Parts: sequence; structure tokens; C-alpha cells
Amino acid sequence: MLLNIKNLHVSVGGKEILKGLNLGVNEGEIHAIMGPNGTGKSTLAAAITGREGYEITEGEIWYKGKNIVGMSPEDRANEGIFLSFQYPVEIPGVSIQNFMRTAVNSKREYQGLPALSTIDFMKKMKEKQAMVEITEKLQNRFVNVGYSGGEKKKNEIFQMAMLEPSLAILDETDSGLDIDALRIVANGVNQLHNKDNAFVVITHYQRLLDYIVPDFVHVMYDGRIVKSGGKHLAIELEEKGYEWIKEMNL
Amino acid sequence: MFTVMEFLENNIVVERNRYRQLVVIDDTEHLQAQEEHCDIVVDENAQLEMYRIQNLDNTASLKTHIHIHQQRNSRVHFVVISFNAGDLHNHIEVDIDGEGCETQVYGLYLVDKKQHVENYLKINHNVPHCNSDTRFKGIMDDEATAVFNGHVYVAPGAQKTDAQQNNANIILTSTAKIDTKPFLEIYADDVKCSHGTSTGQLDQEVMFYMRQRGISMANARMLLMYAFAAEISNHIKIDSLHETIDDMIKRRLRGELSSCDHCVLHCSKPVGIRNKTV
Repeated sequence: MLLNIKNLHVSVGGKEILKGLNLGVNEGEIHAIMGPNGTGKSTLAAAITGREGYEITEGEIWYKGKNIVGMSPEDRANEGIFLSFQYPVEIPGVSIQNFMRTAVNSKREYQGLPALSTIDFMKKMKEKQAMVEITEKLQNRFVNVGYSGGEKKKNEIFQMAMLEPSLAILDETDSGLDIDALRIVANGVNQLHNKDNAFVVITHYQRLLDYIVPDFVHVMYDGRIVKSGGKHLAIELEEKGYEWIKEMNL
Repeated sequence: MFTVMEFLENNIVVERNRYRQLVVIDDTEHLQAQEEHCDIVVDENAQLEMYRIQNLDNTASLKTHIHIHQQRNSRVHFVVISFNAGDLHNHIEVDIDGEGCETQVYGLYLVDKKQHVENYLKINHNVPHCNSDTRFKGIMDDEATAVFNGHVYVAPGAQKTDAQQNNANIILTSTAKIDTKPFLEIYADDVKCSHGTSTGQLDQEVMFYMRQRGISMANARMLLMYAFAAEISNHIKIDSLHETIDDMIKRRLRGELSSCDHCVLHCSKPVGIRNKTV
């Protein structure tokens, strides 16, 4: 199993957000995590990626056979965990080209590989930008500075393509996207998906799942996964609304 | 240990319609204390591009007083970069005495240990229709302290003045201190003036974003600090000097530059002249 989360309890500022979450993800699978606001979906992403301030009070996160609780965010990233941020941050003064070159070569160094040559790097960058229909003009701009909402999300998928993760978590990647950008983003994800990697797609709406078809759908409520099923669960959820889940858990 | 005290006085005139570049490098191989006065006149339609690179021994003291007088349609572009400070005071005053002038003063100070740097800046808009832009940035580490004192004066009748002033600081430790006072004094009503100051630590959101991409904490800090500093060093228009200073900033941020006991310019020698004007 690629990712195996057991009885995960996470507190933020002393308040318990995740209350015993279990999740198993195999290579080649796409999992969707749905649920109303404030149920801990983004906290789950933060805990898997090792964000500071998210205290794991109980439970384990096994990834590629290692319990990664306590591992630094950069080591987790270099082990192949990628997060597409809900709100990608702006980094004034750092070009996307310089940023990505540093990131790609950090991973290569971690793997004991030599740094990519400038030519190979530029070639790869061009190829991956084309995949998400990012114009080359963006490469000399500062990371996310002055990007539109859609460009920011496309830029996340571009970075994902550059870093070729084993486990990609997409945190509300569909929010703020028009239908064209949504299609481009989904298309990028589908191109990257193969039998050796897995995706965890956190979303509020079923809309994205028309384009990225999940093998499993999990519904989160109050810090736990309360219902799991196939892709039809997302449709059922869309029809019945989250009230259905809330009523079930009262 | 011997002490050398120097007192320098310079008078410089950039004549009408001339374009002059001036590079001044302060280092302290033997100097312990120095005070310097420099009076510069930039005549009508003349342009002065001036760079001052300061890299002092941690125990040295340097006080500079630069007074620039600008005549009609003149331009001043002044960049001062302080790598190591010891005890450093820069007093820069610009009197804009003729219409149609442009004044740009940019500063960067990178200080650590117990170093201390003070920048006093006064821009006097004495006449209408002139622009000034002053930006100073600092990165403070260890127990370093700094003062930024910026003063823009707009005289009565100096209409259509456009004056911008900004001071931004990154503080890396809880023991480093910055005292920043940007100040506007305006006696004309049809002007565009702004001032701002920001002081903070490296943005934790940005740090996490970079680390999530596999970039180590040390490298993420370096990238951010370099980006912050480069916004000032990018104003150096002499390519070879820009390259050298960029290189020095990178080494300084890696902690290599401060380890040079006397003078880093022995390694780099961008122009090969010290304590002299070119």
C-alpha cells in the first residue's frame, strides 16, 4: 500500500480537528475526499505533507513502508508527496524557472542523481508547460505573482508534472476555475496518472469528478471518514446534499 | 593594534550635459575610524550614476556625509550597498533646486553579529515638477541593529512633486533590531507622495510552499533573502559591477562573506579602487 493512515488524530492550536481518520491508498488509484466545510479535509492534506502547527496527537501515517510522522516537509516532498495548494502563495523576486530548477534539483540530489543540465531542464519545462497550456511568458515571471486564479491552479499542475510525484494531493484544485481551466487541469492530471502513482482529490463539488474519475469516494464529517464508496457516491452526495451526511451522523 | 583615523573631503561637479558614473568602495583593511564629507553638484541636464559598496571590518567605524545639489533637468541614480557594517552611518541629503529633476536613491544593508548601520536620508523638493524614489532594504541577523531615518521635504510651491519612500526589513532573530522612521513633510497641495515601512520575518506560508516542493529550509531562506536583496541590487546598471555585487550578496547570505576577516574585495576587486572616487 502506498499510503496507509491509521487512527489519525490532529490538533491545531489545541483544538482537535481530525478524530481518528483511517485511509488506505494503493498505487494506481484515484481517491476523492468530499465533505462540508470545516470537517478537516485541508487538515488531512497538511498532516500528510508535514505542515508545522498541525500536531499529530495519535495515530500513524505510513507512506512507502515508512511512518513519516516527524519527517520534514522537504523530505516528504522528495519522497514523492506533492500538494497542489488550495491557495498557492506568491513569491515575489523568485522566477518560476529558478524555483522549479531548485525544486527539481533538490529532489535529484535527494535521490543521489546529478543536477539536470540547463538544456534538459528547459526542454522538460517547455514540455510540461505545454501540457497545461501555460504560455512560456510565465517562466520569467515571479512565482504566482500577478497570476489569475486559473493560472495559479494550472501552475500547480505544471509543478506536479515537473516533480512527478508518487502521491499527489489536490486540495480544492477546482475552486475558482472556469470550465475551460477545469478541463485543462483535469486533462493534466489524467495524463500524469499511471499505475505507479496515486491521487487524492479533495473537492467540495462533484463537478471535478466528471473529469477526474475516482476509484473511491470518501465522505468526511467531523474529523473522520464516515462513508466510503465508488464514484456513484459522489453523485448520490450531490443529489442528497451534505445534510444527508449530517443527519446520518447525529 | 594601531588606529588610523581619516577625514576625507571631496567636492565633485558633474558639468552641464555630462553623464558620469562614480563607484566608491569603502573597506577597512587598516582603517578603524573614518569620517568623510562629500559635496556633489549635478549641473543642468547632467546625469550622475553613483554606486557605493561598503564592506567594513566588524570593529571599524565609518561616517559618511553626502550632499547632492541637483540643477534643472538633472538625474541622480545612487545605490548604496552595505555588506558588513561595523559601525556605519550614511547621511545622504539631496537638494533638488531645479525643475524637471529625477532622483533615485536605493540602499541595501545586510548586517549580522553586533554590527550597526544607520542611514539618514533627506530629500528636499525645493522646486516643482520633480520625482524622487528612495528605497532601502535590510536583512538583520544575530544581534545587529539598524536605523533608517527617511525625510522627504516638499517646499511651499513645489507642486507636481512625486516622492516615494520605502523601507523594508527582514529580521532573522529576536535579538536583531531596526528603528525605522519614514517621514514626509509637505507644504504643497498638488503632490503625489507616499511612504511605507514593513518589518517582518520570512513568511512562513511561503517557506512551507517551498519546502513542500522539496527545497530545504536553508535553501528556501536563501532564495527568499536573495530575492528580497536583488530588488535593490538590480538597480546597479553597470553589468560587471552588478554581477560582482550579486555574487557577493549570494556569498554573504550563505555566510561566507563575513568570514573574510579584512576585505572581501581582495577576492572580487570589481574596480580595484578603494576610498577614492573614480
